[in-house]
Amino acid sequence: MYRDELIRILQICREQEDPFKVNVIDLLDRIRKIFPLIKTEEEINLDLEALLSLSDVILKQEDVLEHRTSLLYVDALLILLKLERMSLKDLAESLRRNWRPIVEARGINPNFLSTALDYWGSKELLGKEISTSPEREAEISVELSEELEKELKRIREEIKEEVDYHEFIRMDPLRRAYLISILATRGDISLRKDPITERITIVPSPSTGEKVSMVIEVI
Amino acid sequence: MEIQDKVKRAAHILMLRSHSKPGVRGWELRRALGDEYIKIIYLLDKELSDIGLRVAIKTEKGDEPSSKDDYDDSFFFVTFRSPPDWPEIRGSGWRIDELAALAVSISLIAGRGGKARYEEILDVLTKKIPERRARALITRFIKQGYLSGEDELELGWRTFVEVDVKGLLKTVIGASKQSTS
Repeated sequence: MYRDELIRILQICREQEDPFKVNVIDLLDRIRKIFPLIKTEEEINLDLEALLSLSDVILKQEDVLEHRTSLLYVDALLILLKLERMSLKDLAESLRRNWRPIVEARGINPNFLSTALDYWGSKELLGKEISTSPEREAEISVELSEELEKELKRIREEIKEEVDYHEFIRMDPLRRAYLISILATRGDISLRKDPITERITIVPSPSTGEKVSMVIEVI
Repeated sequence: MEIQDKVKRAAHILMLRSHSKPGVRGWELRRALGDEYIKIIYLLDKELSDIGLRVAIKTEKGDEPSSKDDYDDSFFFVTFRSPPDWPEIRGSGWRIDELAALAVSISLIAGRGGKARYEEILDVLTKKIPERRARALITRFIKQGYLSGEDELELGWRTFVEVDVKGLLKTVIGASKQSTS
């Protein structure tokens, strides 16, 4: 007789995603009224299940309230405003104070050995495809050097005034970045980095200051 | 195996990386140290405290384990016990703008309830650092496990292990000395 009603209560408790949309008091009152009237064993089980489901809803409500009162539920706009106004130094310090980095050591293990084996395996295959004698290798090396020198000269001639590094290498990033790095290492040109904007430029003359190594993201 | 030997073994397992990402599962420790591995880990934690380190244990969702089964599926890490000093941070290769960018990314995501759009984070970052660098840093944070996702970013596993997110938000909100970068 009360089976369907109890199943309906169960469905409400289980299917409603927002626990605050379940009228707990109303449903509890209904279960209390039904209990003395139920007769079958199935109805008793359903009644018990409905009661447990209602207690789950109350637990969910507690969880939501706890989350909303916690710091994780602060106004996103407030955080945004704070972040925008804070200096890089203050932001970094905020993280530092709440940061406990993972400590780890790297060593040779079966995984690394397996990766290394795969790498050398692929190299061996590559070697088999290009079978060259030491004399021929030397010849190729000279040919490559001549070719490289021609390209370096061409690139050097392109740099007539101070230009943006990334703009300059854009049309063929890897190759042009490689050529620029050789020219800069030789001292034919120099690279300048603005400490504030971090913009990198190519200067057509060698640097007069202290030489330092620079790491530049190309792609 | 003596208890002390097991503690040493646990230290080696936890600190010597053998997977593509750091951390060892509870069941792996059980296999290596026996059923009482949690006790061994707590002994190790005590020993590590003398040198400023600790064992951090996190479930896959980034919570603290609560049951015995939780421990078996959780990840165990060795981390700093207290925040690193600036010389340690500089020595490990981190720059101030990188830490700042990470602080912004984590705070925005946490402040948005766990998810934030890539473009929104980029927008805030580019007010402080060049766009190219901001994009590169977000990519790096994703690779390192601090963030996850693509268009919509979430906090990654490493953030849950290394960063006290609530503490970070509290510090950001409480920041009174304001200055522009």
